[in-house]
Order: sequence, then structure tokens, then C-alpha cells
Amino acid sequence: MLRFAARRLAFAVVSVAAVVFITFLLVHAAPGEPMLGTPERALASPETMARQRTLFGLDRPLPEQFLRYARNLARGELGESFVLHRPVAAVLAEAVPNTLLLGGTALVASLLLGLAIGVVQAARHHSRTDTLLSAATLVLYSVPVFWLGLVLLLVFGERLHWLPVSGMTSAGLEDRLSSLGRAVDVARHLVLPAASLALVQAAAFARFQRSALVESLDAEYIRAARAKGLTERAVLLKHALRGALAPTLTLAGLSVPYFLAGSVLVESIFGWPGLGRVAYDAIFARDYNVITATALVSGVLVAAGNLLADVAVAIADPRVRLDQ
Amino acid sequence: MSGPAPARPPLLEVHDLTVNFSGSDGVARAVDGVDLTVEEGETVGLVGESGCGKSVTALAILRLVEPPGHIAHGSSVRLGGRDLLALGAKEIRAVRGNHVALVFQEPLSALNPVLRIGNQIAEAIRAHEAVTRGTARWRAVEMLTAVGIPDAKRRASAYAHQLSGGMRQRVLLAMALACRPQLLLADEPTTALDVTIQAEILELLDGLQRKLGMAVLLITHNLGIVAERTRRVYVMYAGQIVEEAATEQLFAAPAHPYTEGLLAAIPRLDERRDRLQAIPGQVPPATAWPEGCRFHPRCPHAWAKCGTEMPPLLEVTPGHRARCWLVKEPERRKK
Amino acid sequence: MRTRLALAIPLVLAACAKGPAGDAARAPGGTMIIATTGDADVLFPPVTSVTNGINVSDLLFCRLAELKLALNTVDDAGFRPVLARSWEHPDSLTIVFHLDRRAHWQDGAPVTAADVAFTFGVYRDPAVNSPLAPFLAAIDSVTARDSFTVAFRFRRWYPEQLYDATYHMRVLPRHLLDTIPAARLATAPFARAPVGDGPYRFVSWAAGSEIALAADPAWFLGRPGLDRLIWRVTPELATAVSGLLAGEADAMEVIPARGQLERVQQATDVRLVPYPSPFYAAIVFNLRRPPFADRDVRRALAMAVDRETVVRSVFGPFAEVAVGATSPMQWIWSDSISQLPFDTAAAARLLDQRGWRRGGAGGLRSSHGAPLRFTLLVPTSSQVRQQAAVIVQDELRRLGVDMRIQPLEFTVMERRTQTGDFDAALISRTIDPSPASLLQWWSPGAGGNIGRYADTAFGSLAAAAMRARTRAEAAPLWRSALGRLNDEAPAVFLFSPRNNAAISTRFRNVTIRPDSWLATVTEWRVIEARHIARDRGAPRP
Ligand SMILES: Nc1ncnc2c1ncn2[C@@H]1O[C@H](COP(=O)(O)OP(=O)(O)OP(=O)(O)O)[C@@H](O)[C@H]1O
Ligand code: SF4
Ligand SMILES: [Mg+2]
Repeated sequence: MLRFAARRLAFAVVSVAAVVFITFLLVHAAPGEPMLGTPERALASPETMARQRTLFGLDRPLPEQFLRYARNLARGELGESFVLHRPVAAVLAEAVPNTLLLGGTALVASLLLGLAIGVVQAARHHSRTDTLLSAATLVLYSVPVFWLGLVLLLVFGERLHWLPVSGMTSAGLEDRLSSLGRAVDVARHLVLPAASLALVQAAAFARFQRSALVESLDAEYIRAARAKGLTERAVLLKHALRGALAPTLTLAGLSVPYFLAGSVLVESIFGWPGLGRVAYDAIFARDYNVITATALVSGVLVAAGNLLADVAVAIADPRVRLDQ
Repeated sequence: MSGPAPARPPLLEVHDLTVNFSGSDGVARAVDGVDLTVEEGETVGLVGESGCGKSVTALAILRLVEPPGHIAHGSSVRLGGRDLLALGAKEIRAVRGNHVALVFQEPLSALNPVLRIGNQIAEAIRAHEAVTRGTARWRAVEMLTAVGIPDAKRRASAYAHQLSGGMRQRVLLAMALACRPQLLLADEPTTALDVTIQAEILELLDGLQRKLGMAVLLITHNLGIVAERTRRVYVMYAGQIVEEAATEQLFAAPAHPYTEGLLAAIPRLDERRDRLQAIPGQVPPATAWPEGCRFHPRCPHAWAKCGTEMPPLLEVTPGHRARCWLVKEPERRKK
Repeated sequence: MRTRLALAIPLVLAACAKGPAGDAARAPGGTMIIATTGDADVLFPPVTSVTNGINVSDLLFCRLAELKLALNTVDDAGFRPVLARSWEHPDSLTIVFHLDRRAHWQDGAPVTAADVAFTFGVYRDPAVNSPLAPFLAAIDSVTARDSFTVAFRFRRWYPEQLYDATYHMRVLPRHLLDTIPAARLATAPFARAPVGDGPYRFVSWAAGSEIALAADPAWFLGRPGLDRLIWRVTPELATAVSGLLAGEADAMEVIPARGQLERVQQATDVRLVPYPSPFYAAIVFNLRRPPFADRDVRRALAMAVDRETVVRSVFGPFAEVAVGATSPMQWIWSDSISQLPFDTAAAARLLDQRGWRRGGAGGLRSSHGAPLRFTLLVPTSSQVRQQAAVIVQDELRRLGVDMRIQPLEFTVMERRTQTGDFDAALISRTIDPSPASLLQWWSPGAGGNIGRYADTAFGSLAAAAMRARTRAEAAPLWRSALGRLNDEAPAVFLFSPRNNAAISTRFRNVTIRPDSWLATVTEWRVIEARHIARDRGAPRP
């Protein structure tokens, strides 16, 4: 078990290092250069730009730049943002928790919703309900996240006024709220972005869970459970679901990249101050150090997702646990 | 055997049981008009080649046939006179595992791999009796001890894949017997085990049966076991009962050519066989049973009539019946 | 009568419950939430480059003097005193400012002449690399004569000295910054939580999310009308507009897309406040490349573009056809500036004369076997410019010119235009209130002159305009220079969008200075009857 964990960890470290290296190369090889200002208001004269290149060391040969970056990284330094004039670590320290809150909520919600739909479908597979839900999840699965987000925003935010449309908190009211009130406020702001991210993935989980469940319903032990006189509910939830959970949990672990990619869009739509936004802005402004660091964090999150899925699978399935 | 009509109805009385599977290549009549009776405390054998419908028959008794299979209209399964096919979902659940229990042929796949075995036994008890979790668990351990599992308390928290084959089969028995059923449907309970363990399990079953006063429908393709353990036997072929007799009678004077073939192929004690292979030819697919006598393509005695008219179960002697025209026309038997 | 009385009593009680009247009664207070699509970069005026950073730091730090609404950059009368109570011109190369002694930093220290001199040093320091440094090139030195008197010495005389002395710099507190090495100023904690001398003080900044400022009740020019200003970052424009319509936000600086403008037009609680934008868009030709070195080809292309059609189909009513390299924000904008007419027949004649004759496949013009073909770079970040490009493409095709459109990501396009690697580019220019910025883009050798346009006639007209003493003298000269530019056609000047701020109808007294939309925000007020929860939520400083 320890050796297994060590091997997994070593693999994770190597792949994250590879991600960083490739990102660094791509970012520097891509055309364009760090920008001062916005497209509407590009302020810098060519002279200012040239001086900036020197200040950031961007006029040095690429291998030298990479070596310096790697040396700093090894010391735990992520460098400085060219645009924001602050340490990249500070930028990430603010953004990552927000993304974890959004992505984590969306992941858990989509998993629960996906499981629920999958179970309902499997419970009456080949019924009309099943067919309808299959069609619904297929449609949902093919909906672009961006579009879904905008629709939710227009309907539940602008039209119905049920939920706030942007940000993490109600501007100008924070200091009047108790800490519980603040938590509720954040939760209300979380609903729409999390739903936009979660619904599409819930459809994926549902489809996956349904087929895994239908397959596991064919197992002899399901028949044995029925032969004991258990209710359908117990058969489904206790016997079938438990065994059919592992593939979905693995998928959930593998879906971390989806949530990261989706958060770029959803955070933009809903003004959620997270990693996706940071990455988006950084790519646009060619803020090299920030781009590379977001790739690093994403790599770590993806690896952590896989690791977590392994643990969850081991908890759900003793065969996995005891084999290692 | 069957003396004057019993005062009480038999424990299990299956009449005209038919199970159809509708599939893309037509309807498969896996079980076709089966009549079968088991008296209280009695051990009855059900033998036949692979695919002849033994398991489907057992499942149908507890209404566990799943779509695309369904029990045909007109079938009847009576338990102590009560028609199981007419019960509501809740009532039939109260029968399953409680009055009638089922033991499956492959112990590894019949146990849920992700649940502890003690839990799987306890849930069977809690499904039928209003006992606390603790009591159920304690009874599960007791049951495991009863089926001869050493250190049962510790074993109760093991998973199926941590046990040997024999142990698993004992666990399955414990699970089936946890609610002291009146009837046990034992579907090839020892096929997957090696010979010495087979004998142990059967001994154990015998002992428990006597202790609980329970009837057993023993489904097997091992005629040796049938000879040793049963009082009466049904022989199945292609979804039908083709011969029915007291065990001694069947072995002494088989009336159906198929049974004769089976007897000729009895494995010796030191030999282990999963399937009966001695009869030339193959069981036809359930979607296309042959016209007339279903055995005629493989029967050494078949004549024209056999290919066109299906024989009914014909009485050879009282209590001994066979589905073969030879009963009426013994002279057709080839030497 | 009785019912009215019954209603009045709770109102009186509510007013009393607020505590000691007086202050609260005089200043109605209120909170304005401003939706913005981008966060600030840093709140340190010398290096702040993005719109929102500039907007926020503008309210934290004062200038010596402010342009009045008319944006007259030439005459002293165009300015109103801020940190400088008054100023004089002892000679043609010097301006002496007398500081307002009431001005103080938010930590209590007075604003002094030493602060002003220090500020000049920071803006000019190469280690700071302020993008504003080039604008200060004409200032030779800034020296403190005494605590409240500071002298600006210029290298040469020109009419916009006061503008350059006051407009580009916001005075910084020396006592809080002089121990920090110049290269670290932008990254110092001060730059993210500044202490200023403006009408508003810094409260909080949640990166990517929100910046909050609170009114400084002790600001030396009088307490601002609004207690709190909160910028909410909402990157997606459609969401920002939704937030505005849902009442989550009160204002936006500009709504740049026509579809979104129409949404706001239909709303009842939000109104559009139009004002001239500091932008113009143009197709700039690269004169290093063959067809564009020929003035007549450029003129023909310019005459073939129906700019009116382009503007109306892209913007509807929300933009002006550009009269030249300027925007209505600048005082030189005028319909009297001479422009090339839209005249496709004349354009065709001109090309025929220059040897570009029709005859190729699809009626394409060519000369000596070479087709009249070029590629136009357009940034992917701008929907409107991409739409405009397509219409221009169609118009030029009718003239027999094959213009290909190449959309490029903004920084990539920027790089290509800077290095001269392009045929033509549809660029957008942000201009200052001062027409002097014309030289930044169109004089030979200037960094912004990406097409390498060089014309002595234009140069001497602009130089004369720069020397004119008054606006009245300068205006015709600038307009002639712009006319000359139109005539030479180094670019086709397409449009200047009209900015539309969206502002909740809760606010009154709203005026907008085009170069800096919140320049007059200290005058804005919330209509008291329309106070909402967040207006009462203001923490009392
Ligand atoms: N799920 C199913 N779908 C379609 N047909 C089925 C299904 N289950 C059983 N059958 C049909 O029923 C027939 C009898 O199957 P059954 O399992 O009862 O045979 P068996 O006598 O128990 O054989 P074995 O000795 O191999 O266990 C099969 O040949 C098959 O055609
Ligand atoms: S009926 Fe005919 S074919 Fe069938 S078993 Fe008897 S003899 Fe053989
Ligand atoms: Mg079977």
C-alpha cells in the first residue's frame, strides 16, 4: 500500500512537472507578449514595452529563462505577475479557494444528482421514465456550459430575481450581515454558477451510473438479494449501487479537468473570482508567470482528483482496498 | 409413493408452469408446462442437461424471473395451497427467503462482493423479522456457526472474496436458512466445489434439513447425488418434465431414453464433471424446440410418430411417468 | 388629514433613530455599485494601466488641477484648482503652483511641495517604467520652493504646458514611499492598499471581485455626495447588464455592444448617459508595402468605403463617422474638417489612372500581372471591428480590390503592427484630451506611427498648432492638419463610437467628463426617496 502510494505520488509529481515545462514552452513560443493595459486602452509606447522586457528578463535566451524559472520554482517561488505587479502566489492564494468552493460544490452536486438520476433510471430501466430521462440527459450533456450559464442567469437572475447574477457576495451589504448571513449570501451566489457547471456533468454521471447500475443489476447477487425478500429499494441502493459506484467515482476523479475548464467560462459569466478568471486574464495579457502557475495548480488539482477518486473507490469497494 | 390423496395439500405444487423469454430471435419457451410437487420435509431431485430450464423453474417458483422473461398465464405455483403467482409484491417478498429460500449454484457471484457476509445474512433476517440490528447480527453469527464456519464472529465481517469456495457455499446456506424456511430450492449447490467439499456440504445440508424439518428441491445434473440424497426425481429436457419417479425406481428401471442416456453417463466417484456430455447431439435452442417429441433428433429409438406428435407424460407404473411413446409401444424399442 | 399624520409620525421616528442628525441630514450618503468587466491591475497611478485601475486610483489621488468638462487643454481657464489653489507663469518656461494648505493625506499629513517634486521623480524613473513618462518629456525639473510652493521648469515653450504639468501625474505621498526602492514601488503593499489625498479613501480590494472605497468626510474640497463606491468585477458584459437591470449594480462606465445597449434602453430603472468616447477606429495602411506607398491608391481605397453605411450597420445610432484622426471628445473635432468624399466612380478612375485595371478573375484589378490584394488584420477581441471589416471587404470587392481579413488575437496583432509585419490593420486608438497626441501616431519616427507615414506638410501644420497661444488660434491649424491627414489617406478613419454609461435613475446630478467618467462623481447624489438597503449599509467612517 505504501509503495503503491509512493509510486502514484511520484507519477503525479512527474506529470505536474511535465505540465509546467510544456506550459512554459508553449507560453513563450506563442506569439504576442506581455501587455500593458487593455485592448481598448493599450497605453504602452514601444519604448516602455522594451524596458519592460528588460525588467522582466524576457530579453534573455529562452533556456536561461527556463532555468531561472525552474530554480525559483524549486525554492517554492512562483515569481511575480507582470500585469498585477504582485507575487503570483498571492494571486493564487485568493483565487484557488474560490475555485475549490465552486468546483467542489459543482462536483459534489453533479455527482449526487447524477447518481440520483442514474438510480431512478436503472430502477425502471426500459420504462418510459427511463427513456425520457435518457433523452433529457443526452440533451443536457450536449448543451454548452456557456450557453446554459447564460440561460440560467437570464431566467433565475434577471427575470425571476430569485438569485443574484454575479459575484460571490452582495456588494455593499456584507458588513450588515452576520457570519451566518454571509454564508447564506455566498451560498445564494453559488447556486447559478455551480448549477451551470454541475448540470452538464450530472448528465454525464447519470448516463454512466445508469449503465453501470443496469449492468450490476444483472449480477447473480442481485437475484440473491431479491430471493432473500429484500425490497427493491434495498436491492438497488444497498446491493446494486455500492458495487456500481466505483466506475462513477473514478469518472468523478477524472472529471476535475472538466470542472477546471468549465470554471474558466462559468467564472467569467458569473463574475466568480476564481482560478479560471485568473487564467483567462493571464493568457490574454500574456502574463507568463501567472499562466504557468495556473497550469501548475491545475495539474496538482487534477492529480489530487485522481488520487482522491482512488481513495473513494477503495472505500466503496473492498476488493480494491484489500488487493493492494 | 403417493398413497391415498393427502389430507393436506402438498407443500409445493407447481402446475403447468410455463416461462417465456421474448428476444430478438423469437420467443424462447424455457420452461414449458412443468408439473412438480414437493411434500413437507421431502427431498426431491430435478435433473437435466445444461439449459433445459432447471434454474428458470426454480426462479419462477419465487417469481424471480426478470424481463424479458415472464411467467405465462395459466401457470400456477401453490405453497401450502396459496397461489404465489397471485400475490402482491409485498406478500411475495414475505415468502422469499422466509418460507422458501434459494441457494445459487455459483457461491462467489451470489454473494455481494462489497458487503460483509455477516451483514448479508443479517439483512435477510431483518427483511422478515422485526429484530434489532444487533440481534440480527448475533443471529447471523449463530447461523455461520451452525453451518460449520470456525471463528464465525470474526468471519462475519469478512468479504466473499476472502473466503474459500466451500466456506462461501456454507455462507450461502447460512443466508438461505437464516429464517428457517419450509422449502429450500437448492440450485446445483455443489457444482462449483471439489468432490470432498461437495460431500461435506451435502452432509451439512442433510443435517440442517433434518433439524429444521425442511423440504428441499435439489437441482443438479449429478445423478450420483440424486441417488444418494433424494426420495423422488424429476428429469427435465428442453423445458419439459420428461420423467418422474421414485429415485430407486428411476435408477432401477428408467423409462425414457433420455434418462437412460443420463444413467449411462454417470460419472464415477473420483471423476468430476460439470456437464453431462455422454448423449450424442445437442440440446436444441429454446427458440426452436423440435416438433413432436423434443428428444427425437437425439433419440436412438425415434420413429416417424416421434417427429410429429408430442408424447404426454404417460404412466409407467403408479408414481412413475415418462414422456415417451415407448411407454405405449414398447415393441418399438431398438435392441 | 389624519391618515397623513399617521404616516408622518413613523417617518419622523425613523429619522430620529438614525442618531444625531446634522451630518447625516446634510450628506444624504448612499452607495453606488459600479459593474465593470475588468479588475484593476494595481492602484499606483504611475504604473496603473487598465481602465478600472485608473478609474479607482483617480478617486484616491488628486491632480494639481483638473480639466473642466469642456476639456480645453490649452487655456488656463480650462482648468479648475484642486491640490493647487492657484498657479502663475513667471516666464515662458516656468509654472509655479501654490498648494492648497487644507489638502492632506488620509493619514493626516499635509500635502506638500516636496510630495509633488517626489512624484515627478517617480514618474520619470526608468526603474518604475511608467507608461506615462513619455508625456513628461518636456518638463525639465520640478522643485519645491517652500512647503507649499512648487515650480515646474519646461525645456521649451508650448501652450499645453499646464496640461502636461497637471494631467498625467497624480501626486503621491513622499513620506510613505521614499524608503521603498523605485523598482519595488509597484509591488509594495501601498500599491494594493493606498493612502491617498482624494475624495475617497481605500477600504478593501478582493482581487477579481470587488474594490470598495469610502468617502473621506474630511476631504478638503468638501465631503463627496456618495458615501461608498464599490466596483464589482463582472467579466461577462451580458451578466453585468443583467446585474444592472436586476438592481444588483447601479452603474457602468460604458456599454460597448449594441445588443446590450438595447436591453438597457428598455429598462425603466436605468438610463443611458451618452458621452463622446476617447477612441477612434481606422484602417491603417503600411506605407512600407508597395500598393500603399502610392498616395492615390490609398485615396482611392478611402473613397471607396461608405463609412456612413459601415457605422450605421455596426453601431446603429451609437457612433459617429470619424471626421479624421480624432474623437468628439477632443476640442478639435469639427464637421468643417475636410474629408475625402465617398465616391466609387472617382475611386475607380484613380485606380485606372495608376495602372490598376480590372480584368482579372472576378473583375479583380491588377497591375503588371500583380492583383490588387492585401490582408487586413483585425483583433479577435473586437466584435465591432470584425463586423466593420466584413462590410469594408464587400465594398472594396466591388471596386475590384481583394481585401482578405485576418483576425488575430490582440497581443499578436499588436506585435505584428509594432514590427511592421502587416499590409493594413483595423486599429483602435485611445486618445488624450490633448490634440498633441496626433503627433504620437502620425509624425515620422513616433512609436505609434505603425504605417511609417511621413509628410512634411502635415508636420508643419501640427507644429504650428502646437505653438499657437490660444485655443482659438490652435483650432484651425489642428483642423487643417487633420484635413491634410485625410487627404493623404495614410489610413481610413472609420468611426468614433459614442460611449453610453448606464446609470440607475436613483442618481441625480450626473455629469460625465469624457476622458474620465467619474471625474465629477463627488457631485453625484442618490435621490433620497430612492434609498435602498445598501445605501443605509454604509459604515460611518
Ligand atoms: N435472461 C434470459 N434471456 C433469455 N433466455 C434465457 C434467459 N435466462 C434463461 N434463458 C433461457 O432459458 C433456458 C434455460 O435456462 P436455465 O438457466 O434454466 O438452464 P439450466 O437448466 O439451469 O442450465 P444449467 O445446468 O446450465 O444451469 C436457457 O437455455 C435459455 O434459453
Ligand atoms: S418419444 Fe420417441 S423420440 Fe421421444 S424419447 Fe420416446 S422414443 Fe425417443
Ligand atoms: Mg442453472
